[in-house]
Amino acid sequence: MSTTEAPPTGLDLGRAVLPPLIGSAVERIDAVEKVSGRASYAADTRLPRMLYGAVLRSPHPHARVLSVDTSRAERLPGVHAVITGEDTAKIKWGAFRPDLYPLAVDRVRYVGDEVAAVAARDLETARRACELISVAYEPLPAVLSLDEALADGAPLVHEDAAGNVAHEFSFDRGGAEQWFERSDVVVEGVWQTARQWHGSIETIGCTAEWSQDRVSMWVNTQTPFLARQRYATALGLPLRAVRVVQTEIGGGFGGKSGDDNTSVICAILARRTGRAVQMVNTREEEFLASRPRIPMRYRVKLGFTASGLVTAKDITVIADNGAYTGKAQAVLGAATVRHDALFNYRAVKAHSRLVYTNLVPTGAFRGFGNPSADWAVGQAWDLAAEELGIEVPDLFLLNAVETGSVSPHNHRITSCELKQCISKAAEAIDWHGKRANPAPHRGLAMGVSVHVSGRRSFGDYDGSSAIVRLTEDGRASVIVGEGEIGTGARTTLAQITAAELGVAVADVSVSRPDTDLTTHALGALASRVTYVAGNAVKRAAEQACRQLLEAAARQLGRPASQLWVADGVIHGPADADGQGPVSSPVGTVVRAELYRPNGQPVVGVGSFDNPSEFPDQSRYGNESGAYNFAAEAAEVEVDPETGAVTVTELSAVVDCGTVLNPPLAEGQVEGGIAQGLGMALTERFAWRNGAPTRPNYSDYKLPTAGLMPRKMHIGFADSYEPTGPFGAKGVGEISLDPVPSIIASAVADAVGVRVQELPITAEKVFWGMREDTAGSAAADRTDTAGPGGATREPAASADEKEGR
Amino acid sequence: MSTLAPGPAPVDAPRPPVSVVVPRTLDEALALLASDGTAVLGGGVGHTLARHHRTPVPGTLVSVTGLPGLSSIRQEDDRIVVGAGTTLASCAASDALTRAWPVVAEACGVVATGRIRRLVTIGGNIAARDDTHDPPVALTAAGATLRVRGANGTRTLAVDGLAGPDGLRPGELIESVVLPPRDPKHGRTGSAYRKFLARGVWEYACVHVAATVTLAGDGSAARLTLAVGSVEGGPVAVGLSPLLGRPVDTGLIDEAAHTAAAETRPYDDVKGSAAYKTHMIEEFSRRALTEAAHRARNTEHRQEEDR
Repeated sequence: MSTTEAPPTGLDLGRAVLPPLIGSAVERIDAVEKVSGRASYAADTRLPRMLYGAVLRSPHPHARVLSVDTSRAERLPGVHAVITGEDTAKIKWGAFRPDLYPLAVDRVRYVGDEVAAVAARDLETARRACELISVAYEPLPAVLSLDEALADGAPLVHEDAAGNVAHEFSFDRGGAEQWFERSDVVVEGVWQTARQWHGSIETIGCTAEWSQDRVSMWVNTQTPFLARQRYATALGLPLRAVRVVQTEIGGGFGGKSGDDNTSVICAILARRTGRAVQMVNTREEEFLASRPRIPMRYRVKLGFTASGLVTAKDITVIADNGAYTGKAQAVLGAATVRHDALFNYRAVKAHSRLVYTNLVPTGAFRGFGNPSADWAVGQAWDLAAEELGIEVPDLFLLNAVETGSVSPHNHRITSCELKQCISKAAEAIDWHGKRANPAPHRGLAMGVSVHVSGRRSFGDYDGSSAIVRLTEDGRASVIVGEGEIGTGARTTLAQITAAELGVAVADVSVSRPDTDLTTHALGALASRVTYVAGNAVKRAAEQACRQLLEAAARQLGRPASQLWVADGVIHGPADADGQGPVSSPVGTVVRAELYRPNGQPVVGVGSFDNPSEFPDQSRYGNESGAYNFAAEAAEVEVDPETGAVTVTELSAVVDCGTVLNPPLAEGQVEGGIAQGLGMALTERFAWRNGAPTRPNYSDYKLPTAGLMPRKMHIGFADSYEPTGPFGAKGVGEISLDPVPSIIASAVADAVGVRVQELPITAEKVFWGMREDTAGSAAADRTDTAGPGGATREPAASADEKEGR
Repeated sequence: MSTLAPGPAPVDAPRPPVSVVVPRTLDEALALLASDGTAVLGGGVGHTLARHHRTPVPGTLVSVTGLPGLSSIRQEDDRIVVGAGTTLASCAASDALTRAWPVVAEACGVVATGRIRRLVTIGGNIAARDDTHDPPVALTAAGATLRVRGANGTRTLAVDGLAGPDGLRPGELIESVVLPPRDPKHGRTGSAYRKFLARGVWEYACVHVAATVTLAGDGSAARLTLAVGSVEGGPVAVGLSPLLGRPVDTGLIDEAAHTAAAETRPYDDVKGSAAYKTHMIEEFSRRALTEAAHRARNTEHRQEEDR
């Protein structure tokens, strides 16, 4: 990485004095409706004469569909429609590589693939009708792991993807091989991640209703405008024929970004029946047919000089796409290049392949490939520190980027307090104290990560626009299409608006996305809403404020430049004649401005496009206008008899620019750590014939409070992003990224066992301690384990059998 | 996973609704249970799960939790009698159980979550005959017996004797669980339950073990019991009689733990491989026995405190 003439850091920029509202613990604007149960989630939508939908899914990982007999289902009283692939437009859709039919056409490619669907008067009837549909399958050979998919002569998941490779790219920037030759220390390793499910409290759901030739869809999607585009394609409709309205969302984490078939099938059923239809995934369907995190296998090679300066990095990545592509292609891009914006590499080389398998399709999940990259590359850095005899924080400090750095992929770092994060995280966990007093079976590790604030990947646009309308009763109504997935984004936008205007947060409302009514927006992805939408909303509020002060100037007889707004009242000084001071409430000024002859409403419009570049095929290009950073350190204790890992202490320090709302930011960091610990330690299934044996929470262990670190320190770097709203950057994902890698490295530090494949189960650590690899191979099978595994067949109706 | 496979479910008519009948006396309940198509309804957790999984359930459920005497924990001579309708939460909170058989109170207190423990009855938990359940393992170690009532009278069964022709028959009901005196012939007894969990709460254990140790006056082993769950045919009572009469020290405990690993057959599942579980059965047997022995040694001290 070339460090150009270092521009002044955010700290030196003489940042504007921030309004007191910025950085204060503003209460969430949706707190009361959520706590009181009034918030309306996807399944709370009620429309007159509404029907309920259910889906029949493939029990085979790969099969030809010979025939579908729906006649018995159609005869069941209460059934209004039964549809198959023949009733769809037979158009393949997908965010980047269209390969998914709304309902199977001729072939099914994973256990859970949608084959037929029913709309009925109630859910029970719809599900029973699904059981009455007879499907004749001809099972085909399936590829149930990355290795099977890449084997010579492997069966093809899609005929048009030779070798089962859905997407592939490579680069060599800076001549990695020459740099390795000049390196004193080279470390290598192979690490693999596993499917991780979002585990949102609310599953994916949709209610659809047609009027004339338009369909309205009330969906719990994170990305209403992007989803609308894909739904229109899948339905064979012009964009104008689809309206998407966002309901309340009970958790997104990337899993509700419109890549699955549920909403599309719901719309087809609604058209067929002429009635509103609601479909909500069961928990089992969420596990079988949503879009979990992509398992990735990394081969990593890192070079260093004897003094610890990093020279080159070479990675080979293969990623398990599952049966259909969704966003995996973009995720793989981020997973290959993003982390190169952490250290001053002289050269970086990569070869990445996205591989089809007959397994659950994968996609976007908080971190967007970063946790997989950090899992592998972070552990390689830990190995290097050991070989070099340098403490990890010192090695990081020696190589970390700074404000003004430019990565080999042209990521331009406009604000960076990574070194501050490293130092503060080490201090918070008392790194040197712990090193000086080692305890048996305890280990210490640190990791770092970089994330974007918005990412240019859906066409050459990563912008947002907003309207701020001041009302005649003195409030501000923010119209913006970004939405809320539970992070508090609408509260943050209200806070930015209130700070800009000088009104109370309680007097600001923020719209829910409705593709008919609100501004266009890409939605909640890539940690973008605070930064991208925050800027757009701030600009709209600025414009509204200008109009307001100009109107007030006319009404109060003072130049606009002398007026200011505080607590919802416009104030002006005394004039030269000693008249005044003057004041008038915002609502009064707005009303008078509208009611004058040829009067005008006070409406500000703002727009912001991320100052970033659309990366090329080799992923060269500055993907975001602002990068956030984090350093996290963990201490673990390993039970020497069982291999069980306890996280005794964890410190996380995040550089997200200005912290707009500390409790909301801390909540994001803590939540990310929890999800990272689940990924690291407990989240997994036993697999058979391409599907989890028990796709529910009795097997799949989400983290609980009991898994959290015994002691936890959350901190933020003193930082300011010059292009951010009041200096802010994104914060939604980054804290998750380093967690699995630091837990693995801390376990290695504690007991000398380095786990190569997630999750880090007690059993893997146990066999590692006993150096009994033969046992572990049979024991802890991989996430994508094929048929013939050692997993015990669960007894009939033995699922969730605790406590009868 | 109803949507995955058509399945053999009857399809011609909607599933008949389930009736819940609330008898006033145990005799009335037994009379109702004597007819076909009935089942006992305790806390309802098992039936709810069965319904969720669309497994056929009987048309008439006979609710027994409100029956007089069925939900109490009482002393009968020197034995503790736990009514079958007692919830696991009540068992875990019982002073009498905690004093006499901490292994049982502990096992009841670590099932699933608090909300589930407040629903599940101990009788229902046993009657499910599920080797992953905690309380039957502890009761096996404690040497508990089951008082079973049918229309023709009362029988006594072992906790692990519910299966087979001599086991629980249609129309029969577990009335109570009877725990023997803790300290036979003035020995000192301690007991403990150990469960190995991946995240600490609300999950099926990788392995779970219950142990009791009774010390003779000279500190030697007068009685040793060890029961293991989540293994083939579990709960399995491990035979430790060859170790009786020896001092209860780490050597004895290691041998007992080794025997437990050798005599049980765990199975592979998401919680671990059979090979790993065998190691863990040994380790958790060691931990349970060590704690039980520790408690046995402190019995006199504790009895003084109790007074």
